[in-house]
Amino acid sequence: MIPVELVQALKCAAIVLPIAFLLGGLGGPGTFWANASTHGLFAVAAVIGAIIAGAIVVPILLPWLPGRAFAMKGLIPGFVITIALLGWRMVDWGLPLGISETIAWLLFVPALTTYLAMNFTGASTYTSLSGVKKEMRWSVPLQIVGAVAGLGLWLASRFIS
Amino acid sequence: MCWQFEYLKGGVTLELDEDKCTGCGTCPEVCPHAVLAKHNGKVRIQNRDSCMECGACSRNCPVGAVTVQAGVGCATAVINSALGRKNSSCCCVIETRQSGCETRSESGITCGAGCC
Repeated sequence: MIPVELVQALKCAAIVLPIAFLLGGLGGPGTFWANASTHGLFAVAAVIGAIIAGAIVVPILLPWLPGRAFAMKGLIPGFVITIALLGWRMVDWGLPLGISETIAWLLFVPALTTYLAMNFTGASTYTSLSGVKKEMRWSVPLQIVGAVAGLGLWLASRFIS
Repeated sequence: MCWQFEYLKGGVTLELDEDKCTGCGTCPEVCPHAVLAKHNGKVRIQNRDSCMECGACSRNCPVGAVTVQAGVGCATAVINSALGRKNSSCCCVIETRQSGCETRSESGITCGAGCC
């Protein structure tokens, strides 16, 4: 089932990744393309990381991840991949990382990961429709808030810093 | 190693009318998660949280003693339904499993993640 979910996610990623790359070019001290090739590329890496965590790691580790709700199961992989990405960025990329941008990625990536994890309910053999609806009532608004706030904070940080 | 997967606690729509139940034992037989069990000639719900609302019990009960709002536990299907998508890659209608699965079997679409 992982490849099926992955294909679904990559279809959306084909649209989202170029946008993320181009948005990275906005703001900052350098030229548009210089910014895009650093900050934009990191945004691409962040989205790919969220997809890997939500569509691959969560299904593999499903029995061991805490929480009954699938969205909850996506939370820890989401945070772990974000911290790993931010660490990679600081060590290998040498890009400056402010507090607002750190918070932005800590909001955006787990929001995406929990959404993808939640979508795996369709592949499981033990989820119920009423349970999925119950889970979605609280998780979807949080995912939207996390993604929008993360994106907004990231874009703001590109202009403020 | 074997895990007993259980989804969210509570909220399952499964109901059993013990007055109507004749104790024929069909529902425990068709239940994939051993939610229902027969005791002393009557059926009772022994593991409600394991119910995946597949609807097998209610469809096979000859006296209508078991009721459940059957459907597919699929977030994508819920989203597609909320967005009014009828012909998306997700083939299931979430309101009732009856119509959803009949559509699915007729179309021959296999379902997985991102589907239902």
